Amino acid sequence: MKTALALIILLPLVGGIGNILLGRLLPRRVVEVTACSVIWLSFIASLFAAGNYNGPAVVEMGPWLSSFTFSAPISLSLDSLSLSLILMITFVCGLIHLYSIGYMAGDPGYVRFFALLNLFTGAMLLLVLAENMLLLYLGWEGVGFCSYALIGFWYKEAENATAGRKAFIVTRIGDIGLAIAVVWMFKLFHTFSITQLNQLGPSHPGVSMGLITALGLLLLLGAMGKSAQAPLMVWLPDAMAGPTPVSAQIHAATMVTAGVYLLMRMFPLIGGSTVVVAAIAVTGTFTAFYGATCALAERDLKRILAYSTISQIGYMMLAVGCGAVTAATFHLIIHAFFKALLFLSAGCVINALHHEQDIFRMGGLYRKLPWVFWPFLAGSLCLAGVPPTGGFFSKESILTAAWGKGGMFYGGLYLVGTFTVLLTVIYTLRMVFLVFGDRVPTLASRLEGAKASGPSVHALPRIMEIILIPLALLALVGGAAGGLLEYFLASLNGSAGHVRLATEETLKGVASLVVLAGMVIAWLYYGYGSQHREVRIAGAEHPPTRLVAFLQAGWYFDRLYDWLFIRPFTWLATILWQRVDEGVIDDSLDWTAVQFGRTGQFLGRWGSGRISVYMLSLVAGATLMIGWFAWEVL
Amino acid sequence: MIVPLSHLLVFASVLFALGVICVLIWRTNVIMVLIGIEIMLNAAMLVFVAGSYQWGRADGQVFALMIIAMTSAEVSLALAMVVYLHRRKNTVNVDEFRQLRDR
Amino acid sequence: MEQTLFYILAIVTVIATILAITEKHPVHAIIYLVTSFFALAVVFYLLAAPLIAVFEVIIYAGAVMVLFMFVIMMLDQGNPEEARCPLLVHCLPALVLAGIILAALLLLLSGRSTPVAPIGGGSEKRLLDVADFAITLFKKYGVAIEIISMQLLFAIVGVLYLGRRRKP
Repeated sequence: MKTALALIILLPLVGGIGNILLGRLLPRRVVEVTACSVIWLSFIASLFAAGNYNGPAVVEMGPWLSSFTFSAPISLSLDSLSLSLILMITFVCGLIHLYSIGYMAGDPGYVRFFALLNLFTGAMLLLVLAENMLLLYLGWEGVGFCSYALIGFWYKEAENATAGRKAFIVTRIGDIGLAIAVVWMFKLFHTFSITQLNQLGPSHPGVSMGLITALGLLLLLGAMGKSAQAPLMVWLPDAMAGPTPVSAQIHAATMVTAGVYLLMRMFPLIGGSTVVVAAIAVTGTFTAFYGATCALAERDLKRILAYSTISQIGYMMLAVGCGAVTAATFHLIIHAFFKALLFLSAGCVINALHHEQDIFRMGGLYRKLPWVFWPFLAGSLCLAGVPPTGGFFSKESILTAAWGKGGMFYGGLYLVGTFTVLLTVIYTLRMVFLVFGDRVPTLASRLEGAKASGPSVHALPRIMEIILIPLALLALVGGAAGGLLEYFLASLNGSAGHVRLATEETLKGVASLVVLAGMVIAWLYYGYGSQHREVRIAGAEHPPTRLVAFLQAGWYFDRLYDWLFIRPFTWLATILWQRVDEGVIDDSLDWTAVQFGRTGQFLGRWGSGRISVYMLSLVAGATLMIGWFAWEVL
Repeated sequence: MIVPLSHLLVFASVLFALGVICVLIWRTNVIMVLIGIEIMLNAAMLVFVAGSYQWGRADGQVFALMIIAMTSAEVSLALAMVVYLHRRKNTVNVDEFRQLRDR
Repeated sequence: MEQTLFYILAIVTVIATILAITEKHPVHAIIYLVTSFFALAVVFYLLAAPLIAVFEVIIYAGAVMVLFMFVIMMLDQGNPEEARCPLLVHCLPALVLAGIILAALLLLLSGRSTPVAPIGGGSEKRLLDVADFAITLFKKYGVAIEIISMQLLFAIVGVLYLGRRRKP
């Protein structure tokens, strides 16, 4: 067991470091095989660990930091939560690695890419398996760094590098919250061990509920940064600048789920505070709604998916806020499958269309890319939560948990959540219809005649399409795993309200109806043959209306932050640079230097070289001294 | 005790002042400057010997001897330098040698 | 008798020195200075320092002054026309400064009117002899002797360097 756990983490790390060091000397095929095989071996090790799993276990690998009362050993914890996550992560990342071989086929920077991808996976596995907060933080920062390097992978274009920096800086705001929380927790509980922290809780002497609330809010801040929750969600749409496999990995497995995982991990500690729980739920609900609305108006295929991720992560947060850790984990895993699927098939589409990302310029692809269309459709149905896909069950369990909490507050959250489900269905199907649906030739193109059948398509590497199939199957049948997972994770749940069977069935019915309504609306607006579809496509050429522009710009959050933080900061930096640094510090130093120079020149006139003058001065000085002594006596 | 110490010191002071005057009024002539320095050193020697006599200890005389030895070294070196400089510029006026001044 | 002799010698020394420093002719100045040093040597003898007196005559009045004389003659500075007479304006600061120094020294002397107590436990005064001098010199100041001899060696080296004949 110990070996298996060590291998799970070490294999990707060793693979990444090995590729960094030796990758350039090896043939391309070797690099690719190494990168993929370490992840799959890690998956096999995870399977082994799962096979031998019997109850939560903490495995100490060795000492890491220790002095006096402070100690942070390298210890890993395997429980039902981390086990299900590592299985998911290694599997999804393995598929993404394989897909990357096809996607990066023409790129010269493949060594860097695969090395970073491996490190990324390794850091996330470390984060998931870490038993103490410092180790978790190490993985947390590793994930942050790798995401920065990968989002800005094509760094030669300023836009991509800026996106990477933005992701890094925005998540850093959250990281500060986490760092403070970690140190504070050590001060309060004198331990870094997550197990112990969760056991001690508010009963520890000198720890009040208020402190727990503060800690919980700091952890929530960290989760907001990493998981792209409001108000720190602005980095995720821009992170689309990276290669598509990177987006898939960030969204599905390794990056944005880290924040949710952190909250789930620490739930026994912070779940006791109603304020924290409510804050998590509100954050999640608001973000879910925000993401869905933005996705409604967005035109860029990848950005739609990014907003949908923001929205879905919001659901997970809502689940955590309702104490339904099982539902959150369930949705996390199902989301990983269908989001990886969507991104990978979107990558196929974009690749096939020569890096065209505007969905209004696509269309009719279901004939040309049938191997992409069907998996994409499966993923979309799952995202939309159409029964009986996995997405329906996971989302439904979250909403049930919210309803089960009862009361006005959670009831309101339930309503918003349900409304967001409607929005989700609409934007998802809008995407599907516009990308794959038949494009009725417009008048102009009909006259032109040639391009009537839509954009030209070039062939895809076979491997990119094959990868989509297992993911599609998993996304579709994942719902069946829900019951198993519920049993498996039962110990994790917080104070989730109990829901009667009849109520649960009613809620399922409501959700199904909502989904159905959404599908009808989407069909009416964007489906084949409808009048609106042509109107929409034609309307997309014109400047957007005010509401659409508002949504397309992500509610102008970027502009707000620019106005609130970046401009004052730039202004302050300019003041400090031009006025303080150049004006005060530099000038005062220059002035001092000039004055010293002048004084030196002035005194230098005495250095006439005339020894007689020197002698006279010497005697005069001696006279002065002797005269002063005499004066003292007098 | 043939004379009080204070008389000896007054004598030495006068001699020292004469040395200072010699250095200052002949300050352009390097040879006379050296002579002035000799006079001042002699005044110092006189003070040492007087002290030695006053307290009956030989240390003062030892220092007088040191001064003599030091002076002989100094004078020989200084006069060698005078000869050297005279050879270069054909003068003993110290103000002629100002190559090291600040320009 | 010794007292009278001392005052006479002191006056001779001072007068000879004054003449030496006011003399325009360098050779004459050297002769006056030799006179002054002779008188001073006798003063040293009176102060129970016969060895210093002898050294004064041999080294100062003998060697050093003769060295000066040699240099003056060698550099052909013997005629008074070349040794420019210092102007009164040049003398004025010298006199003022020297006057201040002298006045200050005298003031300091008069201020310390009480005789200084003998160092070393107030044993009864006894005249020093050459043996005392020699014991102090070689026992107490052995290192100083070494240093002084090194210094003389350096002076020899320096003089040889300065005086070597250069190729034009």
